[in-house]
Amino acid sequence: MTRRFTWLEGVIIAILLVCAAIMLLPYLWMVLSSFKSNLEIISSATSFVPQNPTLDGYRAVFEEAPFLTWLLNSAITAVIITAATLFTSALAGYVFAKFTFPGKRLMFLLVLATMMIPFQVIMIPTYLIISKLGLINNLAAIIVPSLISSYGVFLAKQFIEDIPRDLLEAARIDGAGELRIMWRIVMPLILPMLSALGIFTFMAAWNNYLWPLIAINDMDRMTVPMALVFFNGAHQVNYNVVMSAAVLITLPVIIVFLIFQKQFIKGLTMTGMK
Amino acid sequence: MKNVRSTVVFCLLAAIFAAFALSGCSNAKDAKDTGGAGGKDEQVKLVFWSHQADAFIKSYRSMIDQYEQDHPNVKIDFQNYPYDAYNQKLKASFSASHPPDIAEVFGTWVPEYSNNGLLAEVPDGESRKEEYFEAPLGGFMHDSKLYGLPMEYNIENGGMLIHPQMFKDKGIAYPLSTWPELVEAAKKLTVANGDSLKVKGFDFASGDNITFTFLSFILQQKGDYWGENGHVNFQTPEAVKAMTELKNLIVEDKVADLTTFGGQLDTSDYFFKGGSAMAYRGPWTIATGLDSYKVNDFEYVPVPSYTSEPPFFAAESGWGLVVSKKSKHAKEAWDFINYVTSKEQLRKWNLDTFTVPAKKEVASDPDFVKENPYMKTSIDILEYGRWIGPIWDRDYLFKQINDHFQLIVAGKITVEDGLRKIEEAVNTSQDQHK
Amino acid sequence: MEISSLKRERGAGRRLRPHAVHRKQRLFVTASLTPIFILFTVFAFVPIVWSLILSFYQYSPLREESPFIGLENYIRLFSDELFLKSLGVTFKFVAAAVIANIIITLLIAIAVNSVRFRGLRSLFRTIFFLPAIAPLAGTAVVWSTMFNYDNGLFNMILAQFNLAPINWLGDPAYALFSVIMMTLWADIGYNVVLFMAGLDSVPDIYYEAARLEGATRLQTFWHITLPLLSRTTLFVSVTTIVSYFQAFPQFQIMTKGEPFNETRVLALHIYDQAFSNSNMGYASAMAAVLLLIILLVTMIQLRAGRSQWEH
Repeated sequence: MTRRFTWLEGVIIAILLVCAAIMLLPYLWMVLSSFKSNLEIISSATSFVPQNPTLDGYRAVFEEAPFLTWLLNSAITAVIITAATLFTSALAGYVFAKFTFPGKRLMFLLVLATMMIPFQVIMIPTYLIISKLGLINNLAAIIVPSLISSYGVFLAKQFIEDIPRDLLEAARIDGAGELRIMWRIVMPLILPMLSALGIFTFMAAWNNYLWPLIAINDMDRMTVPMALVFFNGAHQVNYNVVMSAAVLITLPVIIVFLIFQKQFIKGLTMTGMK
Repeated sequence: MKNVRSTVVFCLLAAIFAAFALSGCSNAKDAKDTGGAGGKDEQVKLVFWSHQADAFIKSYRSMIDQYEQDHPNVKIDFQNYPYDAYNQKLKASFSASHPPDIAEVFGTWVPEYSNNGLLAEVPDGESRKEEYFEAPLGGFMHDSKLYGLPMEYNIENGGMLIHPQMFKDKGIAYPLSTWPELVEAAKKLTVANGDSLKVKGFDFASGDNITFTFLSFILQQKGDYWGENGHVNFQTPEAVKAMTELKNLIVEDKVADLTTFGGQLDTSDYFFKGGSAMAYRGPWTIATGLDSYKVNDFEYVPVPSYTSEPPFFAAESGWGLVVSKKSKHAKEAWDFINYVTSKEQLRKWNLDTFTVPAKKEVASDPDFVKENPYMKTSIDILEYGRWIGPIWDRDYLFKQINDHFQLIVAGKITVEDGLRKIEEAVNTSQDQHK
Repeated sequence: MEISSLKRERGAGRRLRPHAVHRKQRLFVTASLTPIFILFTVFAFVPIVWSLILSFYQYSPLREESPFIGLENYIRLFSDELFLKSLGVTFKFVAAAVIANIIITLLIAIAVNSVRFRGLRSLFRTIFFLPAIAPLAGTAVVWSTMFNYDNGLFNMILAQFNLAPINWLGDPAYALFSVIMMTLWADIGYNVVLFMAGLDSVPDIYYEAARLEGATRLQTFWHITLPLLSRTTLFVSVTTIVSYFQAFPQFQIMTKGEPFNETRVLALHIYDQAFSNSNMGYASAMAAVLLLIILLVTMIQLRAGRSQWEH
């Protein structure tokens, strides 16, 4: 513990504090802007802090925006997508990891190949397929294409391969069926990986913008990211309304994040390590 | 532990079932909505889409409320979208066979739909045609049949927003009567601040007005920009002269610049914030100033012709209403449109939205100008407008002209090369959509 | 339904003959893979193949007939200035954003990791990660107002220092830079967390040894930390590059590809061509090119990464 050492540490912490302040600045801007009045935004002499704070923005949001509906739509789609993805990934991962059957290698390669495909490539045909299924402008349009995940299958297979064969064999001799083995033995053993995958899937679904933009038309079926942008289109000049909506939408997300923070970080690092 | 897991399992399965149930439900709901219209008292739901503009939405809403009161069996589901995304959403909904019953569309978009048999014909279109000016009808026609009714006469030419106080301060008289006078005035009114312009003398650099000014200059020189078989021709001497004039306004005269082009705000927004002395924009922007900015220190005055000819100009048809062919309630939809386009309602709508009447009887009504004196400038020149012509992809044409105009101004390409490239790109697009 | 049948067979389990078990397993494999593979087929394989097929047609969904035009879309691509421009913009964006991202996140991760107070460390990590959880589309909307020319945050800050305002999103010199800035703010959190985990996994023994050798901090970092981090770095750079090639919301919301198409990345251009100009065939050809680029870049990276691990 030399003096130079602590001095350096102090400098590092100071720099980090500045960086952290910069990171928080947009949030501060968002909150402060949401309390500005229309006239203040329009007059060119705006300042960072609202001169005469008002709740006009929030009032407008509650009058015009069905934003509880948006939150609900986002939550419904994200939860269903996450649950389904976890189930299908675990199941397919188990089959690929612990069974042999003709064409297995080819199938797995095919699944892997789809992992690298940018959404822009399949966007047009997916849109055509969904419209043929008559699901356009329907929450199912958001859900159905995301029930499976090649990334999830890949991850699950990697982790399930580490499970010793004897464990499974013992259960089979006891007469347990395969589904039961999966629930009782496989799933608990890969729980950390599943929670990581779940968090990612949920976040990706929650934040998805491009696909809902294409597939959904009605204001009351929109998910949060898209609704916010459409809302912005109507209030470009008076952005206090949009900022109020943004604040109201960000709050629950931040609260949920702070609650699940530990799992978040753990999940993120785990997938990065594998 | 065991219990927790089985609960999780149960939840998973329940969620997946819920997903399908949900999609099933909403499908069922949709199916119900589009069910056949039976007797008089059967509830009919009309889906009506429009673009997002405060004044438009307010006016439509009041008409919808009135109409629903008069027709208790009709429920109108009114949805609006930002202009930027609106045409895409429309295309997507039509190609997915999920179109709204009634759509507010921009006249220039219509051919793509009417050509492919996606729109219902206007009942007794022959007689309805007579009620409207020719320019706004253009886009709604296909094979001399009518596929929609214009609500407004879209016009971005002939009038501009000005700040009289700025004119007074510089001792300049207005309205201006010749083009050179306008350029002189613009130079005097411009306030430069080092390299940037604090106040633009004559701001025409909006996404629409670069193109419209360019086309009007060609027409005012008695030129034309249409060539053979659906191709445009931008290589005429008139076109070169027109483009050179626009370039010079920025490069030589420095009365405008492109710094705010493509940003979030419109040239009219900057005008109302005092960023320009004259802003070349359609009369619809007046509403923005009065409603959003709560200012009235401006006027709307004529823009003189570029030549000694009358101020000819090209016009897109403007916003109008169409009914999709797929609609199960075409009869009710047309009934609603007939209500909206009746003289009284249309007059009110045009006044509310600060749009120029497309219907002759509304425009010629002396009370109309009395109620909205701002509109006089535009009404006076309606006869000089002609339809822009069969452009397949309206946004593409404007984007090409805007992009190349920026390159021309930046000195990256010559006027002639720029025009040639615009022509090539637009004609490729025209061929693509044939 | 299957659970109940499992219960019934439970007692009989021990008396099952081996090949019966085998049959049951086969049944399980078939039963579980079939629905999953149907989904994969409908929403992954078919779209990919379909997209490639579409790229040989002049296809617009509003039209009744779509002629087969062979390679014409691809030929047109390479003479289409706008496409070539957007290709250039995409590479510019990916290169600048990825390099900046990796340098910044690595530095922050090292700095945060050197903080000795546990609570402070996780507080910093939380703050850096916070923006990553907000929907990118929402972030883009908020940043648009911050970049606002007249009354945005950044020009206010400039005004405080008596500097001329900058047209962040409208000036070709700044537009791409502005979007990169916003993108970095929005998702450096991910990579900070990953790098921190990577640093944590470097065994202390190495550092001890280095300290005994009398190596300076810089030497330690260069010869020990970096090589041991190479796995994490590879993972981080591959995922970041792949995701930045597909960056879309921030461009569509903040700039729409303007000014001068200086921010028209490929993802946005494909979307515009497909859904605004209805040239879905042409857009599919572009998408195929994008796919090829991403595959190539990833392969090169993985190759380079593998050879690095050999020693």
